[in-house]
Order: sequence, then structure tokens, then C-alpha cells
Amino acid sequence: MWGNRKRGKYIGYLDSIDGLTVRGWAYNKENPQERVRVVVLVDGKPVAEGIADKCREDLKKAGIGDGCYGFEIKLPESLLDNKQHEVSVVVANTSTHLSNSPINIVLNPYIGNIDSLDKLIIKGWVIDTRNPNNKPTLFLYIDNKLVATTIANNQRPDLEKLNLGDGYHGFEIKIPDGNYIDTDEHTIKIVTEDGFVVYNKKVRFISPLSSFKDVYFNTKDMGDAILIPFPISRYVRITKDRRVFFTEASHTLASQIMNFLKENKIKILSLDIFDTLLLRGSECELERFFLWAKSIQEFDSFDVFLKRIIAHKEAYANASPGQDGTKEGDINLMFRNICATLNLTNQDDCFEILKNAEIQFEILNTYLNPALVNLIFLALKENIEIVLLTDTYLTTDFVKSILEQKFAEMNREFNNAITVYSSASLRLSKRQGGLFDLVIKTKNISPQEILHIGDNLNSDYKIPKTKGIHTLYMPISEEELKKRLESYYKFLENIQARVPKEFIKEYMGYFNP
Amino acid sequence: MRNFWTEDLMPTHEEMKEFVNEILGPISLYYVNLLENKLLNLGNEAKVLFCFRSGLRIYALVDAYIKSKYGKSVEEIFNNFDFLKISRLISAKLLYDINYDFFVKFVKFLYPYKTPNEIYYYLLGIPYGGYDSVSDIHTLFKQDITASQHLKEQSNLIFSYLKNKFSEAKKIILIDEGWSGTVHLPIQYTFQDKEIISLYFGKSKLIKIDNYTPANIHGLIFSAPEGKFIPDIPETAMIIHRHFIESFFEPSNIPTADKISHEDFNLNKEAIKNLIAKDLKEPKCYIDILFNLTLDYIRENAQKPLGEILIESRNAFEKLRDKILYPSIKDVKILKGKFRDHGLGMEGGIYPLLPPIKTSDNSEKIKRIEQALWHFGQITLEYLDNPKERLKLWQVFRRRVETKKKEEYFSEFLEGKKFQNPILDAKYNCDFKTAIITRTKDRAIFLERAAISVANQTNQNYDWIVVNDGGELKPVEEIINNSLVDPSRVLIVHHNKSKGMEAASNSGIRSSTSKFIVIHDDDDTWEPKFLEKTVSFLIKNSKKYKGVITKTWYVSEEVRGNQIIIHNKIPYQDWVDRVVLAEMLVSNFFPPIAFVFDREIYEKLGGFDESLPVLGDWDFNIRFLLHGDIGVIPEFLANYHHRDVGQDFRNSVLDAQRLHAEYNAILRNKYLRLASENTKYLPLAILFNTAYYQEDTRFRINSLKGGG
Repeated sequence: MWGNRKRGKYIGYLDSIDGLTVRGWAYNKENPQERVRVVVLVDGKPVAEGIADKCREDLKKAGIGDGCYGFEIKLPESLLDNKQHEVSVVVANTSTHLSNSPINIVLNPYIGNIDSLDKLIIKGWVIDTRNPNNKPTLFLYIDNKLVATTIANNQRPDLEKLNLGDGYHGFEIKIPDGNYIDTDEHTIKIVTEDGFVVYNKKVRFISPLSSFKDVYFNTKDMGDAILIPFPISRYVRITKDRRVFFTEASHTLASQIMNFLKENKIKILSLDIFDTLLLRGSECELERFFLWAKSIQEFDSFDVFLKRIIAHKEAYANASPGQDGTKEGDINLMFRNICATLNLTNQDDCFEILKNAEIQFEILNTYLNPALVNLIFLALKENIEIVLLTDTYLTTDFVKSILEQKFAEMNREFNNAITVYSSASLRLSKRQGGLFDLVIKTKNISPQEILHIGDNLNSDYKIPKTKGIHTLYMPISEEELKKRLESYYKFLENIQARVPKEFIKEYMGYFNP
Repeated sequence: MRNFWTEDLMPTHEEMKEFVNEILGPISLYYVNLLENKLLNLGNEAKVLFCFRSGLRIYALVDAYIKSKYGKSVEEIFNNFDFLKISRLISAKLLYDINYDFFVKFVKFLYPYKTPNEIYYYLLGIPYGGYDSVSDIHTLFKQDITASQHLKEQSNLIFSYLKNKFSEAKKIILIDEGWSGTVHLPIQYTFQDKEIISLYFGKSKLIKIDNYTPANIHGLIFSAPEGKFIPDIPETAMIIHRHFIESFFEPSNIPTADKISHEDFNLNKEAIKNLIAKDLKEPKCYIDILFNLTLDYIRENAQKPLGEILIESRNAFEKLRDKILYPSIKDVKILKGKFRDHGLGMEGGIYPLLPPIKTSDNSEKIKRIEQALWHFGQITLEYLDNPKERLKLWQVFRRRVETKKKEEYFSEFLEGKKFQNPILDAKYNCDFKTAIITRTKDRAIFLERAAISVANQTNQNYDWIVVNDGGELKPVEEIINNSLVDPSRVLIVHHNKSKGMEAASNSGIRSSTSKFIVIHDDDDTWEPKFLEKTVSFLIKNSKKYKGVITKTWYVSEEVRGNQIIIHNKIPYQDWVDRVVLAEMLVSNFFPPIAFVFDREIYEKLGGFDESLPVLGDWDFNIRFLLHGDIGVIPEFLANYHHRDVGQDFRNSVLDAQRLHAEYNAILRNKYLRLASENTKYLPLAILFNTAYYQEDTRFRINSLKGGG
């Protein structure tokens, strides 16, 4: 701190360099009457000087003499070369540097700031200190990509009041890309036409989820705007990963949906299970079956894996259609058939081994979506019934075992008020519509009293929507989908030296994400 | 004199054993494994029928496998199985009293090069005298009442025989060697209340009569839908020498079945099992020994885990492919197959190869190679001492038997390249997303249709940017809310005041990030496959093309009240099969709705020229072609809609013809001026000028043609 400096009788501070103006103060503590002469050195050479005699309230309040020790020195425009310079201020005829001197800086004729950064709009102001009548054109870069330009000439009475320019220096830039609205940090850089950087910072545009409704509703009377009609759906698609569900945003999301349930007098909250309530990792299905087989100690794991994918394909191909035309494979049948070809004396033991491995594998490799778990318990408090609908080869007993344990991990009880409907058990599905009809019929309820949430565009969105059910589409994020695709490619690449090509085509082509 | 087949070309026992251990054994073990899994999963409600005659040997393989693996009989594992006496001829006769017209078409298909008289005799099993009396098979049946009576009886007898065998089962599984479903088709045609499934060793090009084709045939080992060898899939090499597989599965001591008699109803499983055992005990030629050795292999290796079986058979397929395509004399000995009856009631039979004759006459040799069922083996025999010529001919013939068509789905991968699938990537990989830009202004009726066009795309990897260019916002929001477009993919770019067509495009494009871009105006539509095909084309041809168009329908329509009435659809600029810059300079020949392009080029061009009130797309296309080529997909996937009938919502294109003429000139002049300032534009300007005269000439010729 300046007070501790043993620099003799002179003390002072280099406050700022705004545009070409150097501001600070200097004081002779042995002779408070002296108005100190200071010299500005740029890269070690003197370029300007002045007397520190401007009166400043802050100095007076700080008990520094009569407070009239401030200076403001203008630097020559020739220094505006967009190169870095060392600027220092010394007391004339001494080698005494003021505190905070020297400063390394690219001298910039522009001053300005960003005032607000939300609702997809950046607001701020920029003044060319050389000539306030010059209204600079600004270029907006996000993550080093040019995305918009504007001119800083909007009226800003507040600036005029502050004696900054002529009052017409404001700007407003619309961020023309909905894709920047995510949880990530983005570098925003605003550059003038002559190449000076006015602003360069890492920012987050909008806090996740909560602001989405704002964006949508408030932009309506804003003139030109980008509107996001389904903000939550879009958000979960473009978010980089699903950790978002673990942040405070999960509460926002839960309460947002809760409000919707209340407003629309929803009586049944219907959730898809896999990849909605219970999130899976980035492995493709083949990889998952492979890892499942590896987790089984008792048998040759590659043998079990191959038998499973054959059994899987055959179970689907040979499933007899249910009332709504659903053809769903049944895990029990698949496991029975795998055990049959494993040629063991005790088929029941084998079945139990495979079943336990399946349940344990799902428990280990999935995680509950906290936002939706929150929502479930909020809804239960309001006497809203919960139904979980899943199109899967897992029968209800499998699904329940997995969920009970996952809920227990979160210290929650898998309540009796939560009903599981599995297509493998009921031979009705969401994709064929039968599961929705079943819920409507057995609960004796109208479609408008249901909200369904899920990740599959067809079976969790289009089908229920056409039936008049309220829907919230929460897709797997693009990044996640890409990872699964890559995992699938990699899997096929690795397997091709080990099995015939027709076998890959017949039994593995089927498993694309 | 030595017998060429049984002495000169006889493989030794050691050679046969080696071949079984390396190739036939692993493949057969793999085959019975797949069969076992299929049957297990089909469940016991299905009736499994091992079909005469190859099915009998397949049964022998299954029997050996089940016995040594489980120590059980086949019955203990699959109790609902039986044998079925069937052949192409029996299947054909079945049709006679089911549907006579279909029967006639079917037999004509079976005997493509035979006269009606020949066919008639074959069907009745009477030796053909070589005398052709009529040209129409129908007349023959009319003339001969006993013959038609006989066929009618056979047809009915076969029907009851099959009905009896099928019993109450809903699913019927026919187990046979292959290939095109000729036995399967009449049965499927007759028993439409049942699900007939054939499990084949290999599946080839399927039979098709009046567009009727077998529905449910599985090639367990391979599937070669064109009947040709697919180079990426070694298994399919077997289709070019299926005679060998046929020889392998054909019992030597059981004659072809060509009719059903009352005794066949009483022929029980045990009797047929005895027939099979007897056949195996009395090998008649080397391939019967090969089959027995294979049974031994299966007995010894039945316990092997599937992983090992798969890797061994994978390697076996590659070896077998090489032996079929480039056989050594040792390979010819093993793979030659045996003398087989023609079947179908015809007399005689065929050797797969002809004994080579020593001649220097190459054309004679080629003729014999052509005649031989297995060209590659014959080449080896004919040119045993001339490896250079042999190799040359192998390659010539290989080109003839292999398909040029690639397995679209797996092509890259099957070639052993790093797996990247254009179809999957186009659909799921966000790196290949498309921005669909829809410009609209107070045209709810069209926007609603555009939303359906977008929602129905089979490729859902897009962002839909609706640019509401100065129109009312509320109806746009309502349409989007009620549509079935993926909600996570919709953005609305709202302009308070209209900025014009090109500015609206730019604004929409700049509001999105994606690899590809397409302008889908509110009044145009796509076929569901449009995005899938165009985007996978651009991914597949990324080095060659930066843009792609499809063929386009010109749709004439009219708006009446709340309805759009489509009057007709005609191909739009149907002559376009490639996109040439010089042609583009004459006039724009494709609409935006048909054009998907890479954002990279858009960025280079700095977007659409907003100063042009019309023809902005033409100007863009010209500049685009200066930077990259545009491919053409010859399928009609885009619809370019025009209100050229009625009064409401008439197209801008039709309304603004005068403006078009004006800006046509302005555009041409723009590029000429550019050339005067920058020599880079000189070739373009010259082309532009030529194009002007070309257009003028075309116009004059057309007026003359029109008699004007």
C-alpha cells in the first residue's frame, strides 16, 4: 500500500488511464502547500507533464491536506498505435514513482462499458475521447467469431449528465444466436472499427432455465428479437451435459413445472423413465450389453454378450403384437433363452445371475434426475398422482427393483402412489399410444389433466400431444447423442475383427442409437 | 481310361479333413448355432419343418450338435418339429387348383427357356418326346382332361398334406438351404392365414411374380439381394458357387420329391430319420465324406463358446471366398461339388465343371468357362499351366459376378475404413446439423403446411428458424405451438418491420449455427426423405460438393378461403442432371426449396445480396458456383408451389415478372462492371455475355417453333 512506501517525502497514486487521459494525485507530506509537478513517462521517455493541483473530495476526506493534489494529463494521439506501452508517472526532477506506476497498457482512445447483458441483448456505451462527435462502429465477437455489428449512437441522457460526450453514445447489440444460451462461459469481445478492444470478458449469458420464460415473454415488445417458443426443451438439447440437473437450476425447473401443474389443474404427472427420470451414461446400447456381460463372473462374458444381442434381436422380431400393435421384447424370455444355450444344469440359477447382473448394472450406471425427483415429491404433496411410463424390454419387476434402490440412494422412498407401466409387461406402449390410453382409462381422467414428460420425440411428445395430453419434451442433449454415436462407431470398429460381417449387419446394425 | 471326376479330381482324405477343420466345420457350427438361437426364440408355438431334401442334412447337423452339446435328442429341445416332403415342383403343383392364372405365371417363371410342351411333360412327369405341338400351355391342359384332372388331384393332395403338417400352428418355419424363395412363395400364397417363415442357409435375389414376393425369408449365413457377390462381405462369395453348398446338403441316397402320394401322409418322423441315417452310412461321392467329417467336427466342438465360433467362422469365410474366386487345383478338387439332377421333373443333371480339353484354341476354352457353373474352377482347369492368363481371367469373371452396388448403411465400415456412417451422422450427429430457414409474413395457411413438411422429415437433426418478416407474431406462435415440429429445434426471428426476402434469409441464417443451410419458404414443401438424402449426400461427397439439389415438382395450386387446392404437379426443369455455371448464367434453374448448402460457402460469400428485391437467389447461386460445385440427387424430393390459378396469394414470382426482367439486366451489368474493375471476374463476364446470346437464341428458336 502507498502508506508503507518509504519513498521520502512524496506520496501519490496513478489512478487510471482512460482513453488518453492519465489521472492520479501527488502530495508532498513535508510541505502540503506545494503543488507537485509530475511527469508522464511512456516506455521510459517523458511525453507529458502537469501540476497536481486539482481539488478532490476523496483526498480531503482521506485527510490528505486540503485535497487539491489531483492531476489529469492528456497523452499525445501518436501513442494510439494499438501496441502495448509502459506508462509511469514520476515526480518531476526525482526518480519517485507514484504508487500503481508503471502500468502496462494498450492506449485506447475509447472509453465505454457494458451495462447489461441479458435477454439476448448487450447494452452499453462507447465514446471516442479524441472526438465525441465520431460515433464508432462496433464489432461484436463471441468466442472469437464475429456475430454482429452496430453503431454507438443511441441517446443516453445519463452519459450527458455525467459530462461524457454529447449524450449519443449508447449501443444495443442483439445476440443473433440462440445457441449461446447455455451454461457455458463465452468470451465477449467488442472491437471498434479501428481495431481497439473496448470490452473483453468471459460471461454467461443467462442463468440456466429460469430466464428462459423471461426471454420469451419480455422480448415481445422489444422490436426485432429471437424468440424461443419452447425454452426448456431447447435448453436441455443444447446444454453440454446433464450436470445442469444437479445445479440450483434443478429446483427452478421443478418449481416451474409445478406451477404449470397447478395452473392447468393437472391430476396426473406422467414421466418417461430411461433417459428422463433415470439418466444413462454415454455408452451406446451395444457397449452397455458388453459391459453387462463383463460384470458376470460366472460365464464366458463374450459368449454371454453375443447370445444376448442375438436373443434381443430375435425377441423383438418374434414378439407377438399386443392390443395396440406393440411388439416388445421381454427380458425374461431373452434371459431364459441365453441360459438354455449356455447348457447349464440349473437354468433357474443362471436366470437369477443374469437378472441380478442386469439390475445391478442399471443401478450402477444410471443416475436419477434430481429435478424430476424434486418434482415428483412436490407433486405428491399436492395430491397429484405419479405414473411412470416406459417402452422397454425390462418388465415391471426389473424396473421397480432398479428405481427402489435408486430412490433409496437419495434417501427417498419409492412411494406406493407411484405406478410403473412397462411395455414389456403390458404389451402396450407409448409409441403405439396404448399406454397413454390405458392410463386415461384406468385412472378415469381426461387427457388435459395429464402432463407427460419424456425424451423421445415420437413416443413422449408427438403421440401424447395428438391425444390432447400436455407434454414437455426433454430430449437427450446433442452432445450426449454424439457421444453415444461415437461409442457405437467405436464398438463396431473394435468388433469387426472378431465376428463375421453378416453377423454385424444382422445383429448389430440394429442397435444404432 | 481314368475317370476325370472320381480319380483325377479326387481329394485325399487328409485334404478333406483339413478343409473341414479350417472351413466347413467352423461355418457349419456357426450355422447350427444361429439356427438353434432362431428356433429357441421362435418358441414352441411355431411348427418347425425340415424341408426335403437339403433340410434332411441340415437336420443331421442339428441332431449331431444337440446330442453332443446337451446329451439330448432334438425332440427334447424342440418338440414341435417335423419333416416336410417338398420341392419346387410340388410347390408349383400346389398352385394349380388354388389359382390357375398364378400357377401358369409361376411355372413360366420356373422354366424360363422351355416350350409349353416341355413344361407340360415335366409337370406330369412324362418323358418329353421332343415334339412341340402348341405354343400355349393353356391349350394343352384344355385338350388333355386326364392330365388336368391329375394336376387337380395333386394340388388338392398337396394342400391337405401341408395342412396336415402345419396342424394348428400359426407360425410355420421352413428350414431349407436357400436361395430365392421358390418353394416358399406358393405356400405363402396358399396359406395366407399363417405366418410362413423360411430359415435359409443363404438368401439370394428373391422370386417375384406380379410384384408378389416372399415376405419372410432369413439368410442365416448370408444375404445377397442381387444374387451377386458383395465384395465387402466375404460370406456372399458362396452365392457364385452355390452348387457346392447344394451338393454338400443334398442327400445322395434320397431322390428328389416330385409328387405327393397318400403314403406320404403316413411317413412318420422316425422313418425319415432312418432314411437320413442310412444316407449318411452309404457315402456315394467325396462330398458325402466331407459331410460326415463335418458332422464329426460338430460333435467334437459343440461346446465351444459362441465368441470362438464366430472368430473361426469369420476367418473361414475369408478363406472360402479366396478359394471360390481364385482356386488352386487342390481347391477345385474339394469345391467342385457333385453331379446333380436338374430337378423340376427334367431329365438328366449337371456337373459343375467340364473336363478340360487340351487345345490352343482360346475361344473354345472361354466358351467352356462360360458354360461351367463355377467359372473360376473351370478357369483353373483350363489354364493350369498358364498362371498369368488364369489370373487375368479370374479378374475378368470376378467383375461379372460381383455387385457394384454398395451396402449403403455399412459401406464405409465394411470396407474396413474408420466407421463413419453418412446416414447415421446426418440424422444424429450435431456436427452435421442443418438450419432450415423459413421466411414468412402473414401467411398462416402456408406456414402451417410448412411446419408439417418440416415435422415429417426422417432426418430430425436441424434447427428450424422461422423468420417472421414484419408480419403479425401471434399467429406464427400459435402455429408453432400446435405443430408437431420438434419443440427443442424451433426459433422465431421476429422483424418488427419487413426487411425483404434476402435480408430475412441472412437474418435467419445468422441466428443459427449449423453445418448446412436450406431455405424452406413458407409456401413450399418437401418429401419426408429430403433432408436425409441431401445431407447424407453432402457428408458422403464432402470433398466434391458444397451444395446439393434434388429434382423438383412444380405444383400449381389455388387458395380458396381456408383451403389450398392443388391442381397439378409437373417436373420442374426436368433436364437438370448436373449444375454447370455457364448454364446458371443463362437463368436460374432450381428453386431454393431444392438446395441444401454448406455454411462455409455462405460465409465466404457474405450471404445474400440484400440490395436485390428479386433474383437474390440467382445472384447467390452464381456466386456460390464460383466457390464450389453443386451435386444433383435425381429424385423428386422437393415441391415448388405456385399460385398460378385463382386470385389469392399469387406468387411473388408470377407477380413480379416485370421486376424480374429489370433486375435480370441489373445483375448482368453488375458482373460486367465488376469485371472491368477486377480481372478475376473476366471469365465470368465473358460467360455471362455468351449466356445472354444463348438465351436470346433459344428464345428466337422457341418463337419459331411456336409458329410465331
